[in-house]
Amino acid sequence: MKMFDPHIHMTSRTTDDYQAMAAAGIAAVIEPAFWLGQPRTNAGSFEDYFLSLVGWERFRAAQFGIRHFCTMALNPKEANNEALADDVMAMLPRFLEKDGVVAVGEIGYDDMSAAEERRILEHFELAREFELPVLIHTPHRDKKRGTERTLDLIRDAGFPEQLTLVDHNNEETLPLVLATACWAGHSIYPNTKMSEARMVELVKQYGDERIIINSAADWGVSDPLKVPKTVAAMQEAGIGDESIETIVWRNPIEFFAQSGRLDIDADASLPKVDQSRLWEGNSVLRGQDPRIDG
Amino acid sequence: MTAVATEDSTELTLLLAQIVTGAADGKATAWFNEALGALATGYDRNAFLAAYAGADRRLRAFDATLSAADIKRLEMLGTRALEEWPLSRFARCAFISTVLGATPAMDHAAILDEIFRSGDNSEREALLAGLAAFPDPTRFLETAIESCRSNVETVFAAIACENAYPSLYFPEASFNQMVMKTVFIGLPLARVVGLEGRRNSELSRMAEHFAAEREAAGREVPSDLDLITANVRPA
Ligand SMILES: [Zn+2]
Repeated sequence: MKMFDPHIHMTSRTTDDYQAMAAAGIAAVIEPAFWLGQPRTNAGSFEDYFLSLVGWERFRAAQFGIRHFCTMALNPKEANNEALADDVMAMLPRFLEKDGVVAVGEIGYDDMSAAEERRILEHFELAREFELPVLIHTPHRDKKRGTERTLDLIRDAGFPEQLTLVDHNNEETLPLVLATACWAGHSIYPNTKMSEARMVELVKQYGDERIIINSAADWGVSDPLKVPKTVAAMQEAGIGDESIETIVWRNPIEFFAQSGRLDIDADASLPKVDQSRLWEGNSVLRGQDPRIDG
Repeated sequence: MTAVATEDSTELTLLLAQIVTGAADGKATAWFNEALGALATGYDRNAFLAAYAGADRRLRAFDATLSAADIKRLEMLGTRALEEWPLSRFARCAFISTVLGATPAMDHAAILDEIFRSGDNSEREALLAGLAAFPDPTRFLETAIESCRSNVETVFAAIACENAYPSLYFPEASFNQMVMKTVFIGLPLARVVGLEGRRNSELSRMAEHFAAEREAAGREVPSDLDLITANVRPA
């Protein structure tokens, strides 16, 4: 089974995680730029973080045969620091040019403040300018209302719904998202956002169209193997492999390929791990025992 | 192999541009020519960094086709791996070369250092691979030495391997550190250009200590280490 985890914050994870993810069949990841858990005090901190998403983290993933892409944005929480937010917004165009950036995100509401709303609209404009899809985070608190407001804002701004992935859905928000042309993401996260068993029920009820799952693993109590674990739960519940593969491979590829920058062929066989092969035009000649799958 | 830095950057720009436009399709060629033309008329930092960053995805679909004459003429680049260059790297070096022709010499080191600092992996690699070709290359020594501290292997290899710059311009201590890092991360020493001519007694001492440490730990000693341990020529 080919698997894609299209929302995971690898910067916060270890090489053990990468190893386990590769062994479980995860062939590609998307790392959205986000909140690092404590406030950043200057724009330079954002710049270094963005650079590590397109540089160092990409290389770390490649060492385990995992393709790494990212999304770039000012995250919702930090949109409320007006002075800092201006500096970060000014920096974004330079990063949206970069090759491994496949969407604008994650953006959205946190406190549902006016400052957050203004920044969401500015990100829509950037997405239009750079012809990129957007990844939208929905708030933890007052989630249903937050999701309704998010969907209203997308419609009012005239941003194309098929270019929008609304993430962290639950039983109450999924039908709202599916009633639009937006894609629906689900973060399978211990104890809170969504569990494997609940996800199985949602797939049974709503099918696989525009449905995406991810681990949203980060620096909190989270699990980078939630995508393969949910695949196992779906198989056990008798959901067909064709449908599962649509959810964990074809759907995320179809959505993010709208960027024109996701050079993964959805129908290609699972990329073989060959640490000596060409990456980004350069041979990664591994000194220490290159791993080459037959 | 010697790299011959150009007197001015015009000839280099033309050579590189020919390779790009000879391989890309009409749309990509139009994008490239427009960006190059704008850079030649005046330096706009944001436009330059955007064109430099965007080259990869706009040119990824095309491969450079190099004649023997092209390879000969591009010897000035000081690289041994031109056939492995993605087309975007020729374009990026053409952009740099153009900007160096359109800006005061006193700004050049800072411009190149910013490309390195603000670039993703492939942007950094393109700069390093072309470094020996730009006018008065010793001005970029600080950036080149800094790049050796990268933990991204492809970035390190872009300066350490198939690149004449270190052997031509690095001071001995920096050259030795680079060579030992090449050994340490397991890249073949044969990839270091000009190694033979830069061997020195301090480097062979470092290599011997490295071999002793490996043996004491029961680990393998790379078979090519004798390229720097044995038979050091008298200085
Ligand atoms: Zn997230």
